[in-house]
Amino acid sequence: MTIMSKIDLPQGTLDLLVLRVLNSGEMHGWGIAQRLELLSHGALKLQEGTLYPALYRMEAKGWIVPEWAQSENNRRAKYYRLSKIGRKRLEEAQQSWDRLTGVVATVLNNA
Amino acid sequence: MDWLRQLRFCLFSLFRRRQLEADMAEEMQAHLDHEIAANRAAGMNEEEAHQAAHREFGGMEQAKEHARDQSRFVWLEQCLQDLRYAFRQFSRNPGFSLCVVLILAIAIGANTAEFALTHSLLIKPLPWPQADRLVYVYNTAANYGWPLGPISVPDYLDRRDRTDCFANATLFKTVFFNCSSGSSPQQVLGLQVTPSFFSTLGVAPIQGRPFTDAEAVSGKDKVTVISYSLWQKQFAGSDDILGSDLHLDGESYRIIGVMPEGFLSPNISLFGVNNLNAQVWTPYAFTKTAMSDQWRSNWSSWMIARLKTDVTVEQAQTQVDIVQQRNAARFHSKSVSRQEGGFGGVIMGYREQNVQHIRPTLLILQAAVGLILLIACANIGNLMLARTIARSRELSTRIALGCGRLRLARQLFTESLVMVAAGGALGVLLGYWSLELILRMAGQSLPLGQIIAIDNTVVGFALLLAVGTGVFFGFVPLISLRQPHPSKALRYGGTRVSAGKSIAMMRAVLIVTEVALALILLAASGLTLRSLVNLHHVPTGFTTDRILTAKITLPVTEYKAGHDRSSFYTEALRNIRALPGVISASAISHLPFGDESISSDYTIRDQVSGKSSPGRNAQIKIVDPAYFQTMHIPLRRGRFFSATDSADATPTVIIDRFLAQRCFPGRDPIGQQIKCPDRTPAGNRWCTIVGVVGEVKTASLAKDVVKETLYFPLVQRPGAFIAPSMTFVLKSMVEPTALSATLQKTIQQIDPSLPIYDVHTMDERIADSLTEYRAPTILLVAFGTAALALTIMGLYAVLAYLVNQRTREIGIRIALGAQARAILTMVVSQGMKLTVIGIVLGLTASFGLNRYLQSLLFGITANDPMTYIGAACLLMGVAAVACYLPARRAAKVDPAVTLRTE
Repeated sequence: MTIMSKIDLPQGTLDLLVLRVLNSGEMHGWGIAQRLELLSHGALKLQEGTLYPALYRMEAKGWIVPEWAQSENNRRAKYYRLSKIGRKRLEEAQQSWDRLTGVVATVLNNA
Repeated sequence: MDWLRQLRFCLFSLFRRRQLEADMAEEMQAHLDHEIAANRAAGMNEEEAHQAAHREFGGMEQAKEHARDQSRFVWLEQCLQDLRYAFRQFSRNPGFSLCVVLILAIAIGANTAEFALTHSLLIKPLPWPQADRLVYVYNTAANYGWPLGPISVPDYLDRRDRTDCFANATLFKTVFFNCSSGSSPQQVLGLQVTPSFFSTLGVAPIQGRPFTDAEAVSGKDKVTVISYSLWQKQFAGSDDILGSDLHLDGESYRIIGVMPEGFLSPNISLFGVNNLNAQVWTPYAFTKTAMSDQWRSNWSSWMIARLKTDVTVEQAQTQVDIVQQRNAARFHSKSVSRQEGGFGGVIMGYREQNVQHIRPTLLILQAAVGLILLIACANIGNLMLARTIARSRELSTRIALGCGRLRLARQLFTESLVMVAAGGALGVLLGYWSLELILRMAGQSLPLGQIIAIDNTVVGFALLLAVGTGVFFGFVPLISLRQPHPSKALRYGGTRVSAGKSIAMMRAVLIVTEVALALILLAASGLTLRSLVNLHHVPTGFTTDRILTAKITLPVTEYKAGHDRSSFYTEALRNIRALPGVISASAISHLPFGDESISSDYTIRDQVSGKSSPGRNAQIKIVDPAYFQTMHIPLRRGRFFSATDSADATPTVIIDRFLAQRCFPGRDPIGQQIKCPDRTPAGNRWCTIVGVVGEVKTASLAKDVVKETLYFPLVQRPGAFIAPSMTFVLKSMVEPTALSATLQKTIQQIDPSLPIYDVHTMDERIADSLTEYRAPTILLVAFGTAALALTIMGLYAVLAYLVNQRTREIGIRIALGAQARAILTMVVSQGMKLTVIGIVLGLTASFGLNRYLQSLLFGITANDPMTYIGAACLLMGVAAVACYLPARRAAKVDPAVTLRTE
């Protein structure tokens, strides 16, 4: 099981993953990390130094909107949800990812 | 659009920094808490859960740091951080920073002031439209020592009408009017001008109109155009100024125009430069006689012309020469003196005429301030290098701790930039103040003094200098960042890291250059200083001790007859002589170092043979008999004027020794006769020579007397040569200026409407005449001193640092038994070696460069060895002192203290 650090995972891809997770509903930072780890079957264990900068960057760009609320542990935590723009960006990112992987796969298969 | 939102977010974050920090801390803490809770749920105990959570999290602070970077302008905040750090550095090392700022301020200030002068005088266009087409047209009598002189009306008419090169031309005369409008009578400078004056210069009145040709006729010429400042001051800027009257010299002039504010009126006088601006302009009416050939020798007016486009000065000069040749052919027989004198016409550009004397000085000064800047840069470079070395340990430590080299470089750069910015700002301020000072001291004597100012171009230049030096020095400390491994600096311990060889070489080169440049400037200022002293010792031919002079003009309307004038002067002098404190008093028409003399041809008649032969051209002065005694002009033969030389007696004349030697070599001139025609009947009589007096310098201490002088008694020729003004000369017992108020009162007791003006002591006048030598001397001495000061500071600072570096080594030496003297010698010789090399270099350079200085020198050659030896000794002495102080500190080092501490 490889532990992905910041260097390996391209920045755009991390954004895509986070947006995808938030698509299903709003979540706080730890929750996002857990979900990603779960979805990747343990392969993706994000360092907080990777996750939070990405979250703040997307917040600055207006893709996600933060809100403070009580978490399941009765702890005050910052929840994020997708904005309209975020939803659009998610679609765009997904499409370009599909295109990219499709092209790469084609080339690798035919080479 | 994302970036726009990001920008907005970052901007808002600037103001919510604290809130954001709190939020981030809480969010991260919440993350940790969730992780701990999950761990506990998985079965770990409290302690294990915490540890595991923290391990997972990684470095909290680093995470925060990365996270922070997303929400702020990283570069802006880093800049602010750099600035804060830079200021902290300054407060820790105030001496060093102050040194750098001051040195830079002096250099930039000097350059700013000098550039303001050069730009205003040599580069900036003059304040008339297309002023580069304007020229002065002179007469010249080069062989008589009159390279440039005024012209006569017939000359003007010839040159205007018989040539093809001028689009427009004007003739004018300087006149001092007694203006009695307003509360008290005052002197007003005016110009009598042809109507073409305004169109030639290209400036029209803002109100009213210029003169018409009909008004330039005697009888119709009582109209005037006034200046803006006169309108504001005398008439309070009243709206119905046109048509009001102005009383000049007792007559009423109707005001028909007002010139724009700041209009610069040409005004020249050959004695020094007169920067008073004309306040009134009246028409110059040409009478029939004035235009006739008889008045050809009456050189009393100035001509300015505007060249046609495409006509060069040389072409115009050729045309004027042709006119002059034709005239010479016509008047050949009548004027031997013209040919002998080398008479001709000379054309000179307007700016050229004004700045030709000052240009060499300005260029030399420009070079001098350039040198100052170089010295200052060398100094600052040295200082910065030394300090960078001292900081190398600190810098290496920071690199080892993970600071990016680029970040460090940017910070060092910012530090230098801040210092240089402060120095530059202070420098511009200094430049402004020193220019004000220069203008106040010498503004009257600088040509075109009214237009010297700091304008946008000069400010731009100063800023450019500051930025240039800033960028340059910003890079100096970065040398120390070159090394790939900071370990070397860290290993050698303490701040006593000695510099690499290349840096030591650079430092030596810088000091040597400083010393060489300082020597060049010192030698130059020494030379000019000695020539000034030489000039002051030149004998003038008369006494200057406690002599007060004052001018007065008698208006022609009230004092029509010559008899009126002479009786006024006689009465005035009688009253003046009765004043307490006056040893003797007299009057003269054209004071030496005061007014240009009128000159005229003269004829000599031999007593024995009765044959008359033409002489040459002489200066004519009308004097009150007591003049020679008042001025202590020695009598060589014969006698002075006395009461016997009355209006009805035989006409007499006194000549000077120059004329005697020229026209009567080996003979006794007493009793011979001279005729000097003027336009009065008295002028055509033969005058008998009754005395020979010593020659007198009249305009320049530096030049020898080349023209003879004739003196006539006032009562015999009171109207001669149309000079209604005389200068009173008083020899005073006390400080002469104390008498000026009493003098004014005495005059006003006789005629209340007469002011005296141009009141100066003889010493002041002579000092004024030396301005063209004094101005460069003052400036060179000032800059030489600045260079000396900079060199000392530089030497001292560098040696102090070196001593500081080697404190440990010196401590060891002393502990091992070295004497204080040995330490002293060691340090001092280090500095002096460099000084001597610098002096030798400087001497060599000086010998090459100083011939450009020769035109400013008098009585001394540019390679005078005494001056160089003196400058070298001064520099050595001063350098020795600069080296001695840190050396003394080195010798006092307590080995016990230094060996124990870092």
